[in-house]
Amino acid sequence: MADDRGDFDIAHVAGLARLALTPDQQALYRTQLAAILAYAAQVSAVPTDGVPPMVQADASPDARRDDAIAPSLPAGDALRNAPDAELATALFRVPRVIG
Amino acid sequence: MTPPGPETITDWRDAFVRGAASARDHGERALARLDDEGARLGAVLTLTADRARARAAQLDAVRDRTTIGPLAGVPVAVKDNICTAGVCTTAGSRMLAHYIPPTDATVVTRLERAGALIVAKTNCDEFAMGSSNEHSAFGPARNPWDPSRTPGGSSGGSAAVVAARIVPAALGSDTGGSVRQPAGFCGCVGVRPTWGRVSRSGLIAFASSLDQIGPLTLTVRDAASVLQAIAGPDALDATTIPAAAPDWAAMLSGDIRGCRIGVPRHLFDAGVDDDVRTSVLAAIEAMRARGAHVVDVTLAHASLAVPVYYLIATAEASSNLARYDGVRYGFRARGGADLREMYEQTRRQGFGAEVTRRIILGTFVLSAGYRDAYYVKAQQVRTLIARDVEAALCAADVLALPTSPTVAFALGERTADPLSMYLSDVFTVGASLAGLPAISVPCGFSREGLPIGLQVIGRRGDEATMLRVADAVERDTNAWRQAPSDSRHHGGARA
Repeated sequence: MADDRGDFDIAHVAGLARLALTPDQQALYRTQLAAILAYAAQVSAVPTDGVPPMVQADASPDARRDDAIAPSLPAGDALRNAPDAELATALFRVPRVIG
Repeated sequence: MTPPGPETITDWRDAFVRGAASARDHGERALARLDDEGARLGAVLTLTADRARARAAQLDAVRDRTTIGPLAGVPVAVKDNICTAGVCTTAGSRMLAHYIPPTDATVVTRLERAGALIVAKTNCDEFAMGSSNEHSAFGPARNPWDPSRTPGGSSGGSAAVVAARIVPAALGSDTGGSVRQPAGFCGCVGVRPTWGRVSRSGLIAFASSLDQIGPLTLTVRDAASVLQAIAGPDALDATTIPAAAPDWAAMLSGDIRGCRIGVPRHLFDAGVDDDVRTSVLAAIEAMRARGAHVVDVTLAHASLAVPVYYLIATAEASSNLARYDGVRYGFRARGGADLREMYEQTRRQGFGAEVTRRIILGTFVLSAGYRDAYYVKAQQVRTLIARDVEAALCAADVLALPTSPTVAFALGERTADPLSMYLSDVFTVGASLAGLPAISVPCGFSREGLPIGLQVIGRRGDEATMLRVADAVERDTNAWRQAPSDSRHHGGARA
C-alpha cells in the first residue's frame, strides 16, 4: 500500500472504511492524503524507544461501578430514527446479507 | 452602534431576577434576533422555540426568582453536535439531517437546571471536523466582524451568535481547538476544560481521547458561570473527573501578583501575524505590570503537535464514525443490492469531503502493517508533547501564547488545501493532546479591526488559575467591550 512516496492504495483503504468512491474522488484523496502523510513523516523521525504511548489524558483511574440493572432506552425509542424498521417485532430491516 | 439591551449573562440574569423582564421576554428577544441576524450569519441550524417557551413559562411561574440558579432566564445556544431530546441534532452532517435524539446531553440538562433557556442549535463543521465552519453540510457560518471571513471552527455558529450579542452564552466542543479558535476569531471568550471536567454524554463523538465541551461567552466571569453549571462528575460518562466543580467566578479578583506566566517565545516568529504577536506580547507585559512573573519556557516538540494530532484524531474518528451505516439511525442510500453496497453508498453520500478525507486517513493509520508506524508512533510522540507542556507548567503556573497565528481568514481561502487549514490549529492542539484546560480571551484587534485572541493554558484540573489570569487580561485590554457593530465607527482601533 504505502510506498516510499507516502502514496497508498486508496481503493483498498476506502473499502476498509466502507466508502464507495468515484474515480475522481479516489484521485483527489490520493493526492491530498499523500501530502498529509508526507507532512506527518516528521513524526516518524522522532526517537521514541521506551516511550509509552499516551492513549488518553488520564482522568479517572478507576471508573468501575456496580453491575446494577437499570432501565435502558425503550425499543420503540431506539427504532424511531431507523431508516427502515419493523416496530411490531422491534427489528431493523436491512438489504439481503446472504445470497 | 451597540444594540440596546442586555449583553452579558450578568445583565440578562439581573434583568430577569429584578423583574425588569420576564423569561418569556428574554426568550422572544433572543429567538427573534437568531431568526434574523443569526440566520444572516449562517449561524443557526434550528431554533428551539417550543422548548425555550415551555421553559420560560416554568421560570416565569416561580415566585422568588433569586432561587432559580446562576443562569436564570438566560438564553443559551448549543452547538448542533450536542443532543437535544425531541429537537433535530445534525452535527452539521447530511448523515444526521433528520436525526431526533431520544435523550438530552448531560450539559443540556444541567444548563436548564441552572435556569437557562435553550434557544437554538448552532452551525458547525460536519462532526466538528474543521477550522472554518466551511465543512458544514448546511453552508458556512460567517464572522460578525466581517461576513466575508470565517468565524473559525468547528464551533463557528456558537462563536458568531455570542460575538454578535444575540445570546450571552453558547456551548461548543473542542477537540483540537474548536472552541478556542472561533472564540479568538470572533472576539469572545472560549474555554476548553480539563479533559474529563465536563460530561460528554450526548456529545456526538469525534475523537474520544480529545473531545471536550466548553462555553463561549463575552466575559471570563460568564464563562466561569457556565462552566460551573455544566461541570462535575456524571454517571453517564465514565471519563468524568470525580471532583465537584468549584465556584470559579468567585475567584476572579484581578490579583495575579506572584503568578508565573510561562511564555514559549520561540513559537512566536514563523507564520505568526505581526499584529497578533504585538497584541499578545502587550497583554503579557500588562500581566507583568500587575505583578505577575513572566518566564521563558520551551516546548521542544511543539512543531510535531499538528501532525500528531491529525494522526490520532483521524484514527479515533474513523472508529467513532463507523456507526453511521444506514441501519440504526441517520441517512440510508437507496438501491443498495446487498448490505455491503448499502453501507458503501450510504457513507459516500452521507459524509462530506472533509469527513471522508479524515475517515480514509484514520482507517489507513489503523490498518494492518501501518498501525505501529503511524498510530502508535503518534501516541508515543503525544507522550513527549504532554511531558514538555507539563515540564513548562512546573516552571510556570500557566502558559500564555496566541490562540491562532492569524486573525480570521477569508471564506474559501483554505478549503482547497486541507494541510493549510490544519496548520491554523498549531497553537491549540498542544493543550488538547495533553488534556489540559485552556482559554482564549480577547486581547486586541488587528489593523483591519479583526479580533485577536490570547490563549492561557493551565495545569490539569486548575481552571481556577487559568481563569484568574484570563480575567486579568480582560480587565487590562477591555477588548470584549467593542462589539462588531461598533467596528465601522472605530475604524479598526486597537483596544
